[in-house]
Amino acid sequence: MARAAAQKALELDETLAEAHDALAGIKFQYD
Amino acid sequence: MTPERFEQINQLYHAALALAPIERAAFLDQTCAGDEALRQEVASLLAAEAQAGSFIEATPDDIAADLLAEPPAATTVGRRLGRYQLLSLLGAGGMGEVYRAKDTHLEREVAVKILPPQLAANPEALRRFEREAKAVAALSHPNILAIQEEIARHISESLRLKLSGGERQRLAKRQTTNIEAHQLYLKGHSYLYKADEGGLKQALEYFKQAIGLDPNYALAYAGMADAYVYLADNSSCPQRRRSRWRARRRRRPWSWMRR
Repeated sequence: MARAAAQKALELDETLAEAHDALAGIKFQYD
Repeated sequence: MTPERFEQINQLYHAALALAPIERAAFLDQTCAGDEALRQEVASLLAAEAQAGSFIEATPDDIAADLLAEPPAATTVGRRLGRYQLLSLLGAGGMGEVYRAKDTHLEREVAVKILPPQLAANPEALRRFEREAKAVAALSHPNILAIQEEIARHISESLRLKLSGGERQRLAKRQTTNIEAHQLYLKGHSYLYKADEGGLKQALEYFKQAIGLDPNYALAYAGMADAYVYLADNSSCPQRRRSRWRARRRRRPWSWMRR
C-alpha cells in the first residue's frame, strides 16, 4: 500500500521530492 | 538482534537519558563493562537524540514566528516606491507593514501596505493581499485608508527578477487548489510525526480525506506512503522507527510548509 501510494504520487507529479523520498525509503527497507 | 538484547539497549538508553549529559559516559562505562558493542549501540542512540532534540522541540508555530519576525528587507521611511513616497510607519505585524505615504501623482496622502519578502514570494499570500485590497477599495469614506495593491506587485516583481526559472516554477506550483484538502494534509502531516500507532492511523485518515477532496493531490499520496511505512515499522520496532523519522525530519524540516 505504501509503494502504491508513493507511485501514485509520482504519477501525478514526477518532480515531487516527498514522493521520491518515500519511494526510496520503501526500496531501501523492503527490496 | 534478539528481543532480550533490544530490551537491554532500550533500558540502558532511557536510564542514560535521565542523567545529565556529562554523567552519561561514566554510566555507560560502568553498565556496559566488557560489552563494547552494547556501549556503542546505546551511545549512538544518545548521539541521535542529542542531534534531533533541539529541532524536535521547536514547533512549526515557533519556526513560523521566527520567520515572520525577521526584519523587513529595505522598506524604510523616506524610500520611494513607484509614485509613492513613504512618510512614516503606521504599524507592523506578521502580515506586513503599513506606511503613511504620499501619492506624488495625485498629491494626496494614502496608506501603503507592504508584504514581508517571504510573503511577497508566496502566490497564495499575494492573492489574499489583492482580495483585501479590493475589499477596502470597495469602501468609500474619508476616514478609511485606501490600500495600494500595486505596491505588492512592484515588490513581487523585484523579487521575481532574483529567482531562477526553476525556483520560480517551484514557487508558483500549487499542489492543490482545494483549501480544505490542504488543511487536511497539514493535519495529517502533524500527526505523521507522532510516535504512536494511534497518531499514525489518524494521519493516514487525514491523508485519505484530503485525497477524497482532491484525487490529484500528489503530496497527500506521498504522506499516505510515509504513514503506511511508519505504521509497518512501528509494529516491528518502535524505538528504531523513532530514530529513523527523526533522521528523516532533519533531512526535510520544511516539508510541513509545502502546499
